[in-house]
Amino acid sequence: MTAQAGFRRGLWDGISLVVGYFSIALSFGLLAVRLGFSPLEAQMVSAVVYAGASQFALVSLLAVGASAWSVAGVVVAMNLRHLFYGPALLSRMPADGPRLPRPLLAFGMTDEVFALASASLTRAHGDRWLFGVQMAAYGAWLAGTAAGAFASRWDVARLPAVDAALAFVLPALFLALLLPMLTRRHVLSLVVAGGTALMLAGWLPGHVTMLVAMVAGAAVAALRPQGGGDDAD
Amino acid sequence: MRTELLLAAVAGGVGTYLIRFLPMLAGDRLAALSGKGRSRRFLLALGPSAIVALLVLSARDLIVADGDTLSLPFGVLAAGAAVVVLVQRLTHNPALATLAGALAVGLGQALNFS
Repeated sequence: MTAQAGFRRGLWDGISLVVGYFSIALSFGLLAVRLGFSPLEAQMVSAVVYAGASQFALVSLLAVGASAWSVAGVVVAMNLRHLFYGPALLSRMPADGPRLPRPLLAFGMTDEVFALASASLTRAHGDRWLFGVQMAAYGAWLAGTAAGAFASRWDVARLPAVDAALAFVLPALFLALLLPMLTRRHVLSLVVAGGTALMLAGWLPGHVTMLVAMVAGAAVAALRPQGGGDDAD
Repeated sequence: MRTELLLAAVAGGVGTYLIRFLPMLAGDRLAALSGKGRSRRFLLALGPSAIVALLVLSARDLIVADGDTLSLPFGVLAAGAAVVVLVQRLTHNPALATLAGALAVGLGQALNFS
């Protein structure tokens, strides 16, 4: 796959993220403006922070008078789970040949991009494909924020059917990505990760639950006795 | 633009960026190792584990209403999930399966309200 073809394929494969990102960012734009921030300020937060749940926390905490440094600390703590994403994806990419600068790829390493890339990325795809997926997601995030900030001018009656469809986009995407992974080789780590998430979700914040579940599932995979073809993914 | 917002966004954004970027420096070295060690198996299993955790958390949000979170009837969710499974099995295309599942849930919700 050429570099340009890889990027275009990444943009195309990122379409499933675009729908989900647009709807979540739209909610963020609406919330930010309703909390008293300007559309430009909402857009700046989406452009600079680019991390879903922590952006909601950022504007909500600032709106009730929290200090900038304490809010920044919360944002960073909520995103600690991203520590593992880069190394996990790099281990699937070609080690030699021309490649994009890592600082460029790091910016777009979000939960959903990581999930999609984990399910799809092979050495044949390369880092241009990953960059294409990231650009599709980032574009949708900025466009959704702008649309939400713009829509906040009107008290638009929400349509339950549209709300329901948009709310189901991300679970549907994760389910579709998970299906090809339901093999005997993965099943134990998947059960441990899913079970951990299910047990902790009612007690801990989502970002902490996510981190613990992810590490628990991966630890089971790392510690189990090594069989044939373990590393093929 | 408010100074407090600018400061929080820039500090939070830079911190988030560093969390994403700094491990990649070590990741390049890890990726260069072609061995079959535990660290490599750990990294390869992170993706599937993250996906199942994200699925559990996002589906739970739809079932358990919390504040502004939308809660959907179980039957509508089950129908949406069945459509995702069916379309993914038939097409092996996650984007198509996602959109078909979302449309099914939207339609189910519309019928539920009519």
